Amino acid sequence: MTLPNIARQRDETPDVTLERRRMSFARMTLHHLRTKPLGTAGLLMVLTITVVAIFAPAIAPFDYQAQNYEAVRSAPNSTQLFGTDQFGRDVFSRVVYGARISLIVGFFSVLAGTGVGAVIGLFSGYFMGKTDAVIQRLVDMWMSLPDLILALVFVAALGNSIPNIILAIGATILPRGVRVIRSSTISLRETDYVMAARAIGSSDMRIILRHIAPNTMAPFLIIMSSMFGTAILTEAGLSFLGLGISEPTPSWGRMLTGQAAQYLSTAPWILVFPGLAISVTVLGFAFAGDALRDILDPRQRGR
Amino acid sequence: MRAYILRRMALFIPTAFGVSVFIFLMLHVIPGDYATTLLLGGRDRALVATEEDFARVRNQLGLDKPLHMQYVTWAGKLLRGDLGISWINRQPVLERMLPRIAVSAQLGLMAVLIASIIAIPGGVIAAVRQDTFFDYVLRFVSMIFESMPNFWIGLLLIVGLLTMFDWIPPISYANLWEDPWDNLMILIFPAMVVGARSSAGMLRMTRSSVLEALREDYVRTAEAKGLYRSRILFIHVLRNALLPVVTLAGFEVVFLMGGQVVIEQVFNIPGLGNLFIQAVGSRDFPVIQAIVMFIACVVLIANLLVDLMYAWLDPRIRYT
Repeated sequence: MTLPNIARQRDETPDVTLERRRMSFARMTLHHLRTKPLGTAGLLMVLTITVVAIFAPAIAPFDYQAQNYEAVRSAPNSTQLFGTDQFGRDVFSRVVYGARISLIVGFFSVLAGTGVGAVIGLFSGYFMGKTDAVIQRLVDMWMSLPDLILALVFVAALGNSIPNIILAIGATILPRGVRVIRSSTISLRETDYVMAARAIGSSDMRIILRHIAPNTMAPFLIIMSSMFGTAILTEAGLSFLGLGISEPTPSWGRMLTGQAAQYLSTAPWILVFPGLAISVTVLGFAFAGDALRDILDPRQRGR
Repeated sequence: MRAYILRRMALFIPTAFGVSVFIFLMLHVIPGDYATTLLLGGRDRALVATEEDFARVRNQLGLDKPLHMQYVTWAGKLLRGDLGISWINRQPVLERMLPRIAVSAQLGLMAVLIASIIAIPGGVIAAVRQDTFFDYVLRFVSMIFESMPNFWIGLLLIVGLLTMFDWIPPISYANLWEDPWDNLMILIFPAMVVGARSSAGMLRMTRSSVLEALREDYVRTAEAKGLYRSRILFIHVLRNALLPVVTLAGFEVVFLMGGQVVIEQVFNIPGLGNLFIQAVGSRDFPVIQAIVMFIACVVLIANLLVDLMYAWLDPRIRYT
């Protein structure tokens, strides 16, 4: 009984790896979705929020600005799912529209921060030497300021329009992009195929663009997904402090600020739902990001 | 070791210089002219200011001098410990900062203490019982904590305390030396919120550090010798694994400052973060500059000490 079993196991091992190599993209995705339940849940959360943000006008039953003084601070009911706030505005509609701001600010700040960071990291890691040393000192300097404080300095200097907030949050992400892409570039430049490309006389530019940049895609995606949640939290923090997105644009952080805190005990729904929306979105990105890291970078698995 | 210390310390000076240039340029180049902000934006919008008023304000603040001269004046004063005067209430910035630094430092210390009490035992257990139900629950909970905005946790805590104990955040602040009990009661809840968040990261670090130590050869040797599991854990694993964790935990105080800014707002604590928000709101640039410089220097010094500590603990680092 036992012998054939062992034999079968031995036979199976190489088969499985061959099978994996032949897996199509769709099957691979399905495989990952099945083996990573938390990642799948995270992805679903992110997708749901994205759909809500895109179709906000269709989903929100009320205008997010419409004030109804007949129904101020009314508890959640069948028409106002999340209740109304101190101005009689529908909390559900505001949370739905708030998804837009969070995702837009999150997406563009992460894209700008990691994108610019990646370009700097590629050149810094590829050429090494003095430029690299200077860039690394600048990164140290940049990182010596806590995220929120750096973002606040930008907002204090530039003002708090949405593009400026994207710039401010992007700036907090930038040094991390530089660090991650630089370190993977340094290990990539020693690989055989880069040596080979150099031997046949490829220019530095060509090596960076054709051979190194595409291979930094995995760390790039990992850092993007893990920074997305941080960016959303920073935006919420700025808005909560009253120095981020300004009224009447509904932002989740903004909805928790100022007068809202006075109704803590009498009308908690004004505070509970926007906070829940932030947490669920950030958690979704964290789960999805972790699964993505496991898939793209197997060495980090289980850490 | 001495060469390493000197090399590492030599890096501190250009970095601190860089931060000072950065913060100065940020606040002086981009917004255009801030005599305008001060005359029109800060207070009464209807106030009619003439060209002479602008010139007078610029002259008073030294803004009519060339930019590099302004920087040299500011940096020179900074080196002599003169942080300038607040534009809003004309008090010396240092005088306003000092009592607040003490408050924020106390809050930070309490937060780290709370975080360590939760995270270090939690992380050790999660590692020893790796991939069990307990491990999953701890990691899941720490992830949830990291996903919630800390000000929201603070607000929910206030709701909870209010409904259960009729506790509201006090309007006035009690000094630690004059009224230690009241002071602790005021700071304990914000410290819990700040600590809860940093415990998530600390827990993960403890866990991976212990896991790494568990896989060391000397642990296998100890097991082969037939030592009791508890003896292996406490003598061989934890001593090695927790040293870096405890070292880093000590410096968490510094790295928590970003989170404290918001929590001080929520709980109405007169700390450094609170002053910073006031200054940003009223565009009180001397105060913003001074606080940012202070925080950057503290973080840089902490980084320096962490690096030196690691080099001392692990001689391999010195040669790379």
